Amino acid sequence: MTGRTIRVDTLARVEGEGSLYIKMSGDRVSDVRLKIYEPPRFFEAFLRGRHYSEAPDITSRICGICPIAYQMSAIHAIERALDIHVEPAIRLLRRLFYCGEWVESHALHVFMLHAPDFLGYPDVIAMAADHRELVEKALRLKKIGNGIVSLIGGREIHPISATVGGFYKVPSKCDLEKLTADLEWALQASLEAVEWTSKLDFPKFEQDYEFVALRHPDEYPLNEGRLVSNRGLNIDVAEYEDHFTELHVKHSNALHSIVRGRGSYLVGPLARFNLNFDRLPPAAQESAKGVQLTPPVLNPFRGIVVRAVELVFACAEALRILREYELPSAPICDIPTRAGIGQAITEAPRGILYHRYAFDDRGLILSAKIVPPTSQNQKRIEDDLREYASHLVGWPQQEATWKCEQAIRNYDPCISCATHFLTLTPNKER
Amino acid sequence: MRIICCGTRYRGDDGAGLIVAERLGQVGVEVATSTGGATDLLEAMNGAQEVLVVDAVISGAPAGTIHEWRNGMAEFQRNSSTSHALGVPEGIALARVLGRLPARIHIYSIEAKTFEVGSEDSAEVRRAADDLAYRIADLVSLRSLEIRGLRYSADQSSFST
Repeated sequence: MTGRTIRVDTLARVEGEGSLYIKMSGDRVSDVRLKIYEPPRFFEAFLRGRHYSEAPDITSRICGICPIAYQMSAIHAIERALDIHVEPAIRLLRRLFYCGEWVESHALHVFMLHAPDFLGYPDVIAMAADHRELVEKALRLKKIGNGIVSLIGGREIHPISATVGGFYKVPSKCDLEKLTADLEWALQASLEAVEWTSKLDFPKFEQDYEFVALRHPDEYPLNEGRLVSNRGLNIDVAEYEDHFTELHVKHSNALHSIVRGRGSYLVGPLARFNLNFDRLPPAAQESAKGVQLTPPVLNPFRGIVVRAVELVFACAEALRILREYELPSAPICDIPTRAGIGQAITEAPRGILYHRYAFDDRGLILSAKIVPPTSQNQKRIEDDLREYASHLVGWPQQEATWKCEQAIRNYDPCISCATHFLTLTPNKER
Repeated sequence: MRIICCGTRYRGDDGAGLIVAERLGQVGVEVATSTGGATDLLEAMNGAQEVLVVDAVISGAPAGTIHEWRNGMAEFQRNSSTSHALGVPEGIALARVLGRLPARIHIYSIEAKTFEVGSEDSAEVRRAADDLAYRIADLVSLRSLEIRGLRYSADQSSFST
């Protein structure tokens, strides 16, 4: 029996640092290890003793791509602890804020991180030489997403305006209306992206997933909802830790999340789409149906099309909010002083993001728990690879390795989130 | 000249560029900040003829070493060990392919000691950030004199018109 090892020491086109190791004996996969170097556990310790009002800003630094998700989960958890209910205009503004982040994140992943896999390029730079218009479109979409985040958050990078109880400063209706023309272009570009991505070549690979996502009575989920799955889960988000647990695995710093008594599960666009298709606005539903994309989508490689549909959703939803928004009566509501414990889940672009905070009567954090989407998907990614690698017997090593990396990128994993540094090769010509 | 300082706080020396930005801000030098993600950098460079980028770096040199890379970008190895999916080197390479690269680009990077999540920046990097901010502020001053018709000669330590 022949053996084979697939090893990728540093995964490319994922956010953060990770590596992959797959060992095969014949067509049987004997070992799969997706290794993640940096967990956000340090942030939990870092938060202890700080005032809860610092948590949204500090945790937003965990991820350079989705700071709004961290701010929103932190704010909702703290508001739950304090029994704060914001007025409808603030709620709408938060939803619009989140739409901006989804546009930024999905545009980056669809066009710049995942598309090169399908078009046969090693990276977006090589792809840009032949598909300049695609990259320019991605950059413009991302800029439009940035524009929403910047307007509401006060700045593009690590926005500062969102806080417990509302925003330090809220935009006027007139300010928001300035986004309309760009968002109309973005909606059209997203509809085209659905068409374009649907025509890509997808490997034949389907899995029997447990999908987990928020579900709201009448909206596609972003900030609120019950936590549901296609295997009967239907809980308040405060019960999350009763139904999910994290396991230490030797090969990774990140913990593996499982549904208690069942195992791995999938969070993110595929889960949201499959569990909330009926909550998508008509433009997004029609665009999906137009390319024969209807639930259940069980092929993770088709996640790129689902992300494009979610781009349509985010643009259409943002435009709806621009039309309906009226200035709130106050940017921040009254905030009581007391001890509390609160949990929240919001839908980061990559899937559900759980935060839990306990703080004393001075507002000082006693404990914090953060479960990011990538650590929830990590075991599921390994399960995919265990199955998918067995389909690659007989493939040349380089192509098999590429395909396994692509299978990981289906999840748009955000491994270390925000640390960035350069690796230099000193140039003797200096 | 547009100055773009890259970094993220709460991750040890990853915030080196942001310390430089703070110092420059204190002496009235206008600075843009960026996460260092490729698309953010592209946006920050947009329309500039000349940019100066400050970032943290790991190259094996002693912590606090200031690296200076002028114009030629070949020394930036585009590889996947940057922990941003698309970081500063990719941003520069992409700008070149898209015809958006500024005519002149300078990169200063400060050698980091640690990127540990939740850790403080190191004393070596703080000192280096002070030094680098001073050098950049000096450069900006000289440039403003050039704009006013005075040219500084480093060899003769003098100005001429």
